[in-house]
Amino acid sequence: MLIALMTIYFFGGGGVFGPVAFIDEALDNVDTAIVDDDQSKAVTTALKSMNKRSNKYTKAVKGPRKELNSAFGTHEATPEQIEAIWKNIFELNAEYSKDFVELRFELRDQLSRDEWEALFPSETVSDS
Amino acid sequence: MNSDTLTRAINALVLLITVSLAACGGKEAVAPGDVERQASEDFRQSIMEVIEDPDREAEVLALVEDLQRDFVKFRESVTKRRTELRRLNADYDATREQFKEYIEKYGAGVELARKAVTQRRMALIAATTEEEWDALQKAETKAMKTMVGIVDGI
Repeated sequence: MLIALMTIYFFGGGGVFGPVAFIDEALDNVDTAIVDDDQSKAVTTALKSMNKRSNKYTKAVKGPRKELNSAFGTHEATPEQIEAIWKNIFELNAEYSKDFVELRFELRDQLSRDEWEALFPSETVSDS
Repeated sequence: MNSDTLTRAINALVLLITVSLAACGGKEAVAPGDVERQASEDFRQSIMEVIEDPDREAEVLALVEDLQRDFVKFRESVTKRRTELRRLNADYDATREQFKEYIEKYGAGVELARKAVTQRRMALIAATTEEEWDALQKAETKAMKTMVGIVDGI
């Protein structure tokens, strides 16, 4: 049980990046953070691309994650079988992480510092 | 294992899952530690009922205790990781190198936890018979389905 729970914590809802809730929050902030209509549309598209990529990862990892949970639940599963599933998950996660960073910098390059800080206000970041 | 034990284990696990996930999403209503302790205690009860050999029972209980500690540490690291990512993303001057370091740092943590989890799983397998393992797994199956459903809904 705890093994499976940890597996889902590892890779559920966004891999190393975790659920990217701040993207949804940024989408809510676009209208106030970006004045220009065309730029606002471009930023919305970029943020939606990040969400789309996150969803694609979540969907892709669902199958291997179930395979892993199933293998963990089987007395006969060998370390080699489990290792092969982990490898698949790690590869999906590495690819997703790389893409996510690229999308983040594509978005950042479109915006001024003030616009960025209005889109992702640092006061919403707490240690809790 | 009797139906009361199964019900108790499943209820505790579902509660554990719900609270743990809510904590990650910032909707914490109950202290996750309290629920985890209760779930752990219920699971211990299941083990004591399923495994009759005292030596192996003690071994499995110790392994589950180790897993519990792993889990608490991992939950804390996930919370920390998410805060750190938010902070890094919010920084206009953050560089690609910083993101690379972030990915490597947490990737290394995940790799260590993965190895530990796999080793503990193999130790549990070695300490149980197939029948005992199946009996313990049945208590988890329904809870797992609920958990996967909740995670997929995020």
